[in-house]
Amino acid sequence: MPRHQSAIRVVARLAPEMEDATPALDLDTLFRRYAPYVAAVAHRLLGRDGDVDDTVQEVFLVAVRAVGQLRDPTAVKAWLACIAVRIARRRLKRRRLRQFFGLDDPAVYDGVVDAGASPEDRALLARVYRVLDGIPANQRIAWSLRYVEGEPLESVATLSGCSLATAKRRISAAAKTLEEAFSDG
Amino acid sequence: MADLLERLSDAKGHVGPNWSPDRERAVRLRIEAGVARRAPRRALVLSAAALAVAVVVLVLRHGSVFEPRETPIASADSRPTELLRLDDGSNVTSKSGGAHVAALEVAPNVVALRLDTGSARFSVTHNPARVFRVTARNVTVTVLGTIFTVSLEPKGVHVAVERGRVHVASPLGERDVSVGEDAVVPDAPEIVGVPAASIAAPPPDEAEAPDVPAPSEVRLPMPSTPSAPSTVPAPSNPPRTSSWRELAEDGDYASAYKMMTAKGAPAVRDEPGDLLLAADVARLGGHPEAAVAAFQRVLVAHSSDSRAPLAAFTFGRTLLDQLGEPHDAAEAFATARRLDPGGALAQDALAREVESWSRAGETSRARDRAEDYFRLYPKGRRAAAVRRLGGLD
Repeated sequence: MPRHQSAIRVVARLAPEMEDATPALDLDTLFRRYAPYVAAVAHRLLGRDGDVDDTVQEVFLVAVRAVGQLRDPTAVKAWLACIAVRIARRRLKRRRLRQFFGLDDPAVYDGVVDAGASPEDRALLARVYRVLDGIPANQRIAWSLRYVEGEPLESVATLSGCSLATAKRRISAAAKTLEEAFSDG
Repeated sequence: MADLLERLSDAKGHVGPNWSPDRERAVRLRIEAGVARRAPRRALVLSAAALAVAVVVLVLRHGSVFEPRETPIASADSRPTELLRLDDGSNVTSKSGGAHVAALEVAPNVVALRLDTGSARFSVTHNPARVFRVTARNVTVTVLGTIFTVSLEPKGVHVAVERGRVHVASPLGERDVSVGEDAVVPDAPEIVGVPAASIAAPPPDEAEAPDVPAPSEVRLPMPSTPSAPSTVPAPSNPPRTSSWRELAEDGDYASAYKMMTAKGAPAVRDEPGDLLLAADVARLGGHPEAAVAAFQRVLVAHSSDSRAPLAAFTFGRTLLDQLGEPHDAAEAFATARRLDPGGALAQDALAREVESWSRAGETSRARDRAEDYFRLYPKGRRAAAVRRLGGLD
């Protein structure tokens, strides 16, 4: 059966006042340019490859609906990252709830790194993500944005939707948990 | 901590998804399926006033059944937006107000669309080997190649032809409508109060699934009300955007699920788009077991729909990752491949089938499928995992 669905093109447009200045930000453009980026953000925040597809799907569904509210088309990448962070937070909270009730499968983080990673790196990151699984979602996201994504503190605050002080506090709390976990050997 | 961060800074460059064009295409398919359900609603709200004016004008101008008129169909206050485009150049654009068009089936020999709200212009590339059909309420417009507009109006369906000829059929009769003509088909008075299936049922071709009941709406299993009927009557004008759908579109799947399964809430319509949305609500709302019925309904009653392979694949993932049913998951992934052997999902489906058999402890079957994988995709992107899970190391 041919890929009929891919022949359908759905167009979303910018807010009316933006249309003259900028071409339409349609799903084609958004997805082609930014899907790999959103997938990478989702993967690094969530750590589980199996969650990436659903997260990317949710991000772009939200984006297509809300693209009319985007006032600065040049900020679209950061805007998508904000959406991705918000959705990842929700997924992490749900995951922790499932963990609390013993419904979450024990995570295997061997696949969090690519094939080029050394066994040491693979083991390190698998362990980091297992520890992160025990950290509240907001702290985990702030720490991951800072030290896995490499975002500056201001961006961490913006992406997390909190103040700079709160972002620092969350990062610090997560770092403390990780430090304790790794100091145990 | 400094030591950890230092080690992490070296290692984190390797943290990334195995994101590939095929995987991207598969996610894109899912997004399109979701967008097609929701995109035009905002336009509907924004242009409601303009539509109201247009409707009043049209109602005043068109009174009799199938009365041919020579009426220009251009609408000065409309801002056409492309809703759908097919490979052959056929496309659908919104007209005077917030059209929503659902793709029921898009295949080489048939394209079946349904106008849910508003008014839309259909430009159809001539193709005698294909039936192009548009359903609007209980009116079916069938064409070979033409440009025409279908508008839902409060008291009927308005069909206007710009080029070519269409065939218009409704319970009140049928006739051809030619270029320069348009016709108004009033809602049949006898339709009021009859069972919903006769109102919202798909056109005959879609309803021809043998031995499968085709209610116009289905209800997902509700743990709190196990005795709930499997079918419920639909309102005469099915609510396309009831509350659970809006919550789902906002990403609040838990609330959407609660609303969807609450007593008296609108049921799920028996069409692939709504069923897949319901399945998303269930599985992403923390009730993956409730998604099973929706997926199965798509695969049993709508297996020829272009979204069926996606339904089978997502069903497999739900069974494997959320429900811990690797045997059933393997069958679902096999179904996804069978429905679309050359499609974007086929390679991933085969790899996931290997994983499913492996997790089920069926090492022999896992190995067989792994060998299939390497025969079909010698350099497949899942090669390492398939080799390991299939015991080919």
